[in-house]
Amino acid sequence: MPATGETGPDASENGSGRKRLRRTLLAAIALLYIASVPWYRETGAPLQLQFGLPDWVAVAVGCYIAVAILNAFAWMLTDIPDGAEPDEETRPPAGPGVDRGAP
Amino acid sequence: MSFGELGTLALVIYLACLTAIAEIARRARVDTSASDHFLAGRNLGTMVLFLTLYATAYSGNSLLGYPGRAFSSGYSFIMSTGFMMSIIVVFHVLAPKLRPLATSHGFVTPGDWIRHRFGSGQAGPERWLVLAVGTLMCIALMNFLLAQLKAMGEVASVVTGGTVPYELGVVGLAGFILFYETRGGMRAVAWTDAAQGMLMLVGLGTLFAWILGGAGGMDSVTRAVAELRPSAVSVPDAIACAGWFSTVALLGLGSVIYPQAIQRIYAARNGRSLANSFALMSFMPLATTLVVTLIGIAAIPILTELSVTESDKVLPQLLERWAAPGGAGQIGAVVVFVGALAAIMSTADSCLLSLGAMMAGDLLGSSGGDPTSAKRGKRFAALLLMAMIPLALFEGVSLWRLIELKMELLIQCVPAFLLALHWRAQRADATLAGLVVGTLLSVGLTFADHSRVYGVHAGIVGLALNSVIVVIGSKVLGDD
Repeated sequence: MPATGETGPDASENGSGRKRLRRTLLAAIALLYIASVPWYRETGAPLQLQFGLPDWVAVAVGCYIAVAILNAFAWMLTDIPDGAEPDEETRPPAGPGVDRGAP
Repeated sequence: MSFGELGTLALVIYLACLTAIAEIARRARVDTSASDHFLAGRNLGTMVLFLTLYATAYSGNSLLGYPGRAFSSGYSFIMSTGFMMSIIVVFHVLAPKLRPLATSHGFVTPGDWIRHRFGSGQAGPERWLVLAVGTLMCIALMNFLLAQLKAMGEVASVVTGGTVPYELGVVGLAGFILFYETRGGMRAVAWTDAAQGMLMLVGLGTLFAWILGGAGGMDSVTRAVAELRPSAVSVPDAIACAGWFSTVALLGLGSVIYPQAIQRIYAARNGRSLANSFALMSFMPLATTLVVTLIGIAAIPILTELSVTESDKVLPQLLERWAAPGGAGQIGAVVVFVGALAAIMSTADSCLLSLGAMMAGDLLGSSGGDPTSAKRGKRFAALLLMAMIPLALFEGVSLWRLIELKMELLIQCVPAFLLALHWRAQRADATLAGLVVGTLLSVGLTFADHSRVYGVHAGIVGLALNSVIVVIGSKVLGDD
């Protein structure tokens, strides 16, 4: 999101950079979720402790801690406008809608 | 002072605080509109929004049920931290698109989005879609509310040592929720949620510290669990791993379209407050769900006489042991119980507020923003609560199967929100057809004792078919 008053190509470049970074973070979160589930581990493997937890649990907790940090960062980069731009409207042109105007 | 006397005193102080908050919220009212009553005038700032999201998302089940689940399932229930976190991740798909539309068009209920997106025809598939989505959401919420009423009665009875019997707990606390909800609307609900959220955090933190202190750290706990029940520490098999992925998807997708969650997106003061609240919420599964999971696992070597089928008693028995010597332990146990009660009441009040809004706006009205819907919503909330209290009083009423179905039903509404927000070509008739077929499939599988298919929830199987119908239907009918 550009700083107040910032306009022109720099602001637009900054905005698209933030969007790219946000998408990268969300992709990393998806990968962490895949890694958090021990589908790649052999059932019945001997118990090994890491930080007081079974190692596969420690991996899952580590992934979730990383998800929390990346997700918080992704939300800080998320720009939620306070009003819809006309081209952001998802309603099909033919739909009558229930537009009651801003509250 | 006995545990019961201390608990009764804590309960009275807690209820007095809630009464004061409700009165302050009523005085802060700007007008009598639906937006002011159901959405606090769309003016919730970051901290209040964060705490109300927290208290609403973490129900009594999170505090009382999850330790029991961890006790019976072992370390594989660590998945609960992942599925609670997935909710905040999936909000990325919903909130940034829905929030600007909600503020521009004055949405109050989830049905307002459906009417805006698909049109507000009075007899066509658009109207049926609003009714179908509203019905599924209301059934899910009513089941959720019923579970909270029952839990409220049980906790009130335990914390007061029987001074407040189960029946009085249900009726009295339900009446109390109705009082502050109708008096102060979303503002009272959000502010009381904020107080309840803080109580939950304090209660859980102290309980976990006591357990770890007594056990000598996590290392000793895990070794003792491995000796007593090796299956609790072993790597889950392929079916269990499929179930892990499925649960993360079911909870992540289903929970973001809880009506009370959607209404909090509408109620934020601005987009930045909402994004900041979600950023803070990202850490709450680590502070709450992970803690209650580890409490449940640490209970395995402590409560050796308890069988896995009695896992509901894990937290009450732990607290009983903590309170037994008196002093700080007794005070801590009372704080946890009142925290649990707070968690239950905060979920129940949000359910009730959303139910009133949806009944008045989506099922029996023309829109959630109708100027008369605030008054009608209060009446519907009162009627619904009165209708549900008798069900909650009969502890033997077997509605637990329906409660299990809640998320499987709710998740069938996902294409009407998450997909429709991003895909312009989606049609109302295809969305309605997908929703009906997906619901029938997931309900049918559940009642035919196939609630999981190779570890995958019936609701996820139903959603897959539902989504295929929506996409193919919209493409085929859209070309006509």
